[in-house]
Amino acid sequence: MSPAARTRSDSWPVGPGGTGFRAWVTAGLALLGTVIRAVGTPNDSQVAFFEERVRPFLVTECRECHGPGRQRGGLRVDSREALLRGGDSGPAVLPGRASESRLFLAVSHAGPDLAMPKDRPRLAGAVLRDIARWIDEGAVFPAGSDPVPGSSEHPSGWAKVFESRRHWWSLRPPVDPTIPAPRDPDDAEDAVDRFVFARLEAEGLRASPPATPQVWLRRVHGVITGLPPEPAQLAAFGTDPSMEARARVVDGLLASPAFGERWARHWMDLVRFADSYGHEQDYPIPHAWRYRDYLIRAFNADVPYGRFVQEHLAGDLLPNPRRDPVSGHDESVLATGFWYLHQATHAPVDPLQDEADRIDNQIDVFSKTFLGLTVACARCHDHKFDAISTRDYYSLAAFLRSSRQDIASIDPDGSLESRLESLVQHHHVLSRSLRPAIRAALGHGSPKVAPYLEAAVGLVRAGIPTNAWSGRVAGAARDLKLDAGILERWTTEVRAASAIGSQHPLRPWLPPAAEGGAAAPAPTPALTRTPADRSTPDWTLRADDAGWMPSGQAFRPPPAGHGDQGTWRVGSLGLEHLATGLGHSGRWAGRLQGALRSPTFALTHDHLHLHLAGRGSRVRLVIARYGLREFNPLLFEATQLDVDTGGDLAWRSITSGLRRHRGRLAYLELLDDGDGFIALDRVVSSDNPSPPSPPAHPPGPADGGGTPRPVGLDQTVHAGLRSWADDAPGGPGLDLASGLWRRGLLDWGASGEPAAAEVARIRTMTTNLPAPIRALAMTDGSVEPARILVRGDPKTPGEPVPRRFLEALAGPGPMGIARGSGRLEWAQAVTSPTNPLLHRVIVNRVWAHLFGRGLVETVDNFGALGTPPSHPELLDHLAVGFARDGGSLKRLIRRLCLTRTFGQASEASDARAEAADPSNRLLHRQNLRRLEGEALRDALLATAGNLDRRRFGPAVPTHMTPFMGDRMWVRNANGPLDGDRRRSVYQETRRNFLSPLFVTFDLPIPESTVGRRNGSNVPAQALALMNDPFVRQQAIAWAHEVIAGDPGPVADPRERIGRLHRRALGRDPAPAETRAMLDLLAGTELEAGSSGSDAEAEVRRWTELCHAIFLTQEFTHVP
Amino acid sequence: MSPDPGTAPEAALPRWSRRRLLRDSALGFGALAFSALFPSQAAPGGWAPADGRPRGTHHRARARNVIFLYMDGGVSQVDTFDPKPRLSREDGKPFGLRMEPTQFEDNGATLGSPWAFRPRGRCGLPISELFPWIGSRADDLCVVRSMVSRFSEHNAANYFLHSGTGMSGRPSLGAWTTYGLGSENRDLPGYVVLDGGLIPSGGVDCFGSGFLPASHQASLFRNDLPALANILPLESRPDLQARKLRSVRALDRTALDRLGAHDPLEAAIRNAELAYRMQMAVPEATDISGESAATRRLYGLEASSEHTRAYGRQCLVARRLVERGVRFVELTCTRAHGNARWDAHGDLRNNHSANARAIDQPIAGLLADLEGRGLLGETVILWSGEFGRTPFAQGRDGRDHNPHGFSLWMAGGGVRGGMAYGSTDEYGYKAVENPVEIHDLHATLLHLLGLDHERLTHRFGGRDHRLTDVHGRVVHDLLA
Repeated sequence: MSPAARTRSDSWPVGPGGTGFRAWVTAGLALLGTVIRAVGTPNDSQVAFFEERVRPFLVTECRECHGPGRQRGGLRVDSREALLRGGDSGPAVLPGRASESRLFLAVSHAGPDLAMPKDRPRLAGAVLRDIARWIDEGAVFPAGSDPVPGSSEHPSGWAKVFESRRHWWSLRPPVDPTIPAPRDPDDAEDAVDRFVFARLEAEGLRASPPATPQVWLRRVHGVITGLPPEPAQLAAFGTDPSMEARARVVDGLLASPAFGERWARHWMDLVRFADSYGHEQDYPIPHAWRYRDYLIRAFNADVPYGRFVQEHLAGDLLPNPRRDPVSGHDESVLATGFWYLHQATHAPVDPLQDEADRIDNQIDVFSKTFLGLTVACARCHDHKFDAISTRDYYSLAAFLRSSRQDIASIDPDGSLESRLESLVQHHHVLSRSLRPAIRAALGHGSPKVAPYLEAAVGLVRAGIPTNAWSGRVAGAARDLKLDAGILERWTTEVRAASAIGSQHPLRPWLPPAAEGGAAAPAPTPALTRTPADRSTPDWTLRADDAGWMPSGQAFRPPPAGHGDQGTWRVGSLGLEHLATGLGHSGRWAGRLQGALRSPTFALTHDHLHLHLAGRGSRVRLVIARYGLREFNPLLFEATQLDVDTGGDLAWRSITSGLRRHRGRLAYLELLDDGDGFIALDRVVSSDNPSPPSPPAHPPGPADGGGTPRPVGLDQTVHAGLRSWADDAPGGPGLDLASGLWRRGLLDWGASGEPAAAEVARIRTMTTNLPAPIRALAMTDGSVEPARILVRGDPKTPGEPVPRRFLEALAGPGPMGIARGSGRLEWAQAVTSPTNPLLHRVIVNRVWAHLFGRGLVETVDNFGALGTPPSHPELLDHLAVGFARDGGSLKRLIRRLCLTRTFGQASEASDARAEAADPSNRLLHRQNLRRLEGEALRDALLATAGNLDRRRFGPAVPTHMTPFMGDRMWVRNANGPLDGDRRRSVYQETRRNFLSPLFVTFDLPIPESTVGRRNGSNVPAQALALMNDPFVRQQAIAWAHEVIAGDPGPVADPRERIGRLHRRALGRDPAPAETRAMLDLLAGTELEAGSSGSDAEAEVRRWTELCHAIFLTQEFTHVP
Repeated sequence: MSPDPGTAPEAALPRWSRRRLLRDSALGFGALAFSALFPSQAAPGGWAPADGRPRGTHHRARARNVIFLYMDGGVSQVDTFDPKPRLSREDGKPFGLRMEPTQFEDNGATLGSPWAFRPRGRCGLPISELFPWIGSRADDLCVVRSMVSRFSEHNAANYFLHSGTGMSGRPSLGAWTTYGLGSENRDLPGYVVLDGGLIPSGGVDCFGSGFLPASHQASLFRNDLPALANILPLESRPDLQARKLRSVRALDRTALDRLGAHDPLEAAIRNAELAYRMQMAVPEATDISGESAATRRLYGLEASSEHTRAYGRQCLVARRLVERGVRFVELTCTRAHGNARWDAHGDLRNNHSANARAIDQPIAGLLADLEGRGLLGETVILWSGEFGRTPFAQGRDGRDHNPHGFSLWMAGGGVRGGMAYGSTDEYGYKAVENPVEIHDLHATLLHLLGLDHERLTHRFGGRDHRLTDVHGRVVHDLLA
């Protein structure tokens, strides 16, 4: 009996062996004896009973094979007539006679050929009773079509189905089982062995004898670090190692950095890791390698598994992010990058579908990886087999819809945060010292403004030839007692302000342009709506409205309670006063990086006008979460703007192409990825293609009266400065003063620039700021309304759903979400001790990596379509123990590697055991395993003495061959043949250009979770080992290395041969093997002597031998 | 037929009996491995590639092999095999039917075909003057004019045409074929794609094995020598490799003695054997230098257009592969019109002329050559794109994608030649009579090969999968 059947049996009144079946039916009939059997007009309660209890069963369990689509065995179950007619074997239903009806017999598993639903455990007893009752009552079946499964269409039906499925074995909490006692308990020191051996005994089998120490050593190296043992380790291990010696080996391997490299690669299969998005252009996934490095460090640090999972789901939100012990950077946030390792295409014709598909992939990866469940099956309909509803699916999608992709800006070493704090403090000091200093300067009549303007206008309009320019400026400064440097800057600004259409703050102060310098600015058209669309009024979003979300350091708002220090910043030339309400990334320092994202809004108009300033920064409109705009503008033409306005606010518009996105949800991203800055005042959504007027700049004061324009300039600037110093409301003068100060145009004379020392200090601090680490990550967005999409189609939104974890695991109630996306609460629910899957799934994965196959063979599917566990009690024992042990993967691996079960020989030596347990599910021996492509390549490099153990960093580009297609233009780098000799985990995973060697050896296509790789066995593998230039290259390198180890003529090559053999295979060669290798050497001797120097010939001879060893099955298989 | 999930197909044989067969053979296991290195020791009969053991057919097969002439980008049906006089009459006028959404939404007026049709062959099948050579083989052709697809975008439509699902990651038609029938040649892979230079939109995933064992994925051969990666030995002399492999065999034998007979080891050793032979067989099969001048002329290898010559080489290699027992050969297109394939969003006239010129003579040559060698009766030729093109213009001189009705043709084993099946409306826009789905095409092709599309299943992820999912019917009217 399978364990699955056993778990089902408790709702089954009698033993499942089959003999009790008829007895139960009889008993059931007796119970129903009083029920009226007459088949008359169906009454309402019969119809209700059918609709509620029976039809849902027929629809969800039978219809796929016996419905309108296909009719297995000629049977349909969607009408009474069809059931009465039946299929190839006769009528399915005999009304009034359940115990003779084939439908009932089939669902009751009455016989081996009469067991439905096919290949599934028997249904719960309650369901069978309902069916029996329905048939006995006359099989009432109202005409009409089946309802389509979907939670909104037959909610009561789903409740029933759900109830029957939620007791599935994997959904029940693991209980710590009693440890069995096999006959010979001395052999089984660890409880794991007792479980395995007791099971073998029960089948009349025995475990295999232990593997040789050499094989054991090679095996633990393979599973823990993925690298072959060094000959020295082999020698030290000896021929009869104690358990302590074995434990020391395992501890040493677990402590090796290579452990994390090996196990990170396993994990990368689960999260469909890749360095590029695939599809036509194969654009790079930015910073993907940071996630890979995170994994390596996390496995090496043995981060408790629950914590590791929480970091994946909500590492950006955890209250106490984990810091790297060496550098001090935030590790936790890096984990969230895994969400975005999906495939992506540029220019999706239907962005909503594209978005839904990406979220689907995220849910798929999440649920398979962490839960061993296929939740994505519930995208279009309630799960066909598991207790997962469409509602569940969209409840999970809601977390993702309330989150956004981020390129996080991470403090590299902790110093960025402290320096930033100190910068804020100094701004505070600056602010405090500015008021008295400005007041004092104003008392002395500083700063001078008007004389500079007059002089600059004069110079600009005099038509001075270029070669005489600096002399004339210096002369004018001398004559007028002005500062030459400041005057020079004034001339530059006057020129800029004179340009046609300029919005320069000096513009209103220029004298009339009779000479043609400054034409009157063209009036900006007043804001009007086009008559075509008045459905939605224009709207404005200000940067200080609620709901904007900063990420990184750049947009850090001033700390509360710091008074008005937030109104000045240190610009490149001088101080700058900030208008209130600006979102400004250079508030504290231009070097800071980060993003500011708007709340989500619907695109209601054809144009978005942004009032902003900035330099070397970007604004992006993100529509339907589409993330490839930075690579390709197609279909999203105007949604990204490079911002380079200088310091002044100006209008920029996103216009063309927005119409096609009308109604879609979007948000704005202000991106500061470098030393520049970006500042946003507000956003206006409108159907008017022109930005609103009046312009943000105030009208000049010299409009009437005919007085020369500079008159009043000094006073205006002084009044502005005074209003600030006196804490009075700042008029237009303050903006003007700020604009001039920022440009270095204010001459403070003898009083000196106020707070110049503090400004200089701040500048120095800014220059020394470390650059942040940028990494792919998730961040919170606005909470978006979430709805079921009927049949998965974004065009047919259905009922709303709350953000909630799976009902089968967390109950039906709503989750208490404090704020934000709710991912933190989600992460807590996933890692809750009451989640029965979390630990079962991970201990099973570890088991699978150590033994070649999981206790649950379908490591990614613990649902009804997965295979049931071969050792259910052992699985629970491990899961409970793992949780109790704090979720330490290293301790779990250590324990398992030291079991007798692990240490068994893998020889298929016992014919009786092979016959009884051909697929070795009972573990009567270890499994022989072939190295994965990555481990094979690592082994080639390591054996050849050629492996570069450098860790971390950007991926090594894949080496391109003529056989990888002709789309070389898609990529920009061709990697070296030997991959820089770095471990395989550091080799690039370009979706369009996967390493041929890895693919040949079953690298999974990075599409969704693959916990169990294919084990293909194809000639291309042999061809690669025979003729791949990389393999040949390593054979040559190895030959060189071997010869260099003991140069000079070798009288007897046997010693060398032994060394080669031990290095590659971890054991001494047998005499026959030595002979075979000597033969090969002798055979190549003749040829080798034919040309070139003796040294070259020697290398050629040994190359063939090294290559031959690579070609042996023992090299690619770990026994 | 439902082979054991996720295990090597040999598992379908009783394990011990097979092993006994190996052990009991006169020379033991070693004789089997690397038998090619010891030509004097013949392999026992019934040898099969590691993963290519024929599973047998469900019913009598009408054909043994498939050559799929994939017409990348979508050929215009109304300019090739589906004449529509009304289009010409209304050329330049507003289109007479409601237009479905198109890829580019740049729909223009009704666009008559620039090419004339005339009846060809004894059957009188009307064929466009684009294909004078293929027209001469009209009596071989079974034209389906009522094809429909479900996707109007290349990637999804290509995955659909190749694998029956509009997404990547599913086994392709060729993979299902070798999965069902195994390989007939012990020295060559069973499923080969001859790369003409244009990998279809959607990439090599179109030729994948999906969840089927990896040995069923296509081997992609370049249209050049060497055709395959790692096929050429790197040793300075051929005998060095043989000598080395013999040593390896000796070493493997001791490993087997020590480790016992593990299926994966045995399979790997057999694969090494196949690999060794492929080093000779693949270059031999793809090297056309020994073909006669007449044959070369037949395939257009002496034509003035380099694209005709390139496609002619592909067709000739296809014949050589089929001749040698390769089950499924697909040809991708050449760059006859830059990278545009048949995807004539503009400049229809030059696009289709150039593409037709490249394939016309080679395909006719292939049909004639197969017939002359007695291979046509056992080989199905399929000529199809992923969809057709709109009868109305895109812009002024192009045609957009049209999955609502298009044409393909089949020829060869079990196919009724000289006929047209189904029809589109008067404009050639939508299939109206006897529409044929891609699933139906797949079901029919498998049927010709002796496979029942409902019974050719593979259990994966807990359920049985088929090429045709829950769809598909054999179109018996197309069968001879």
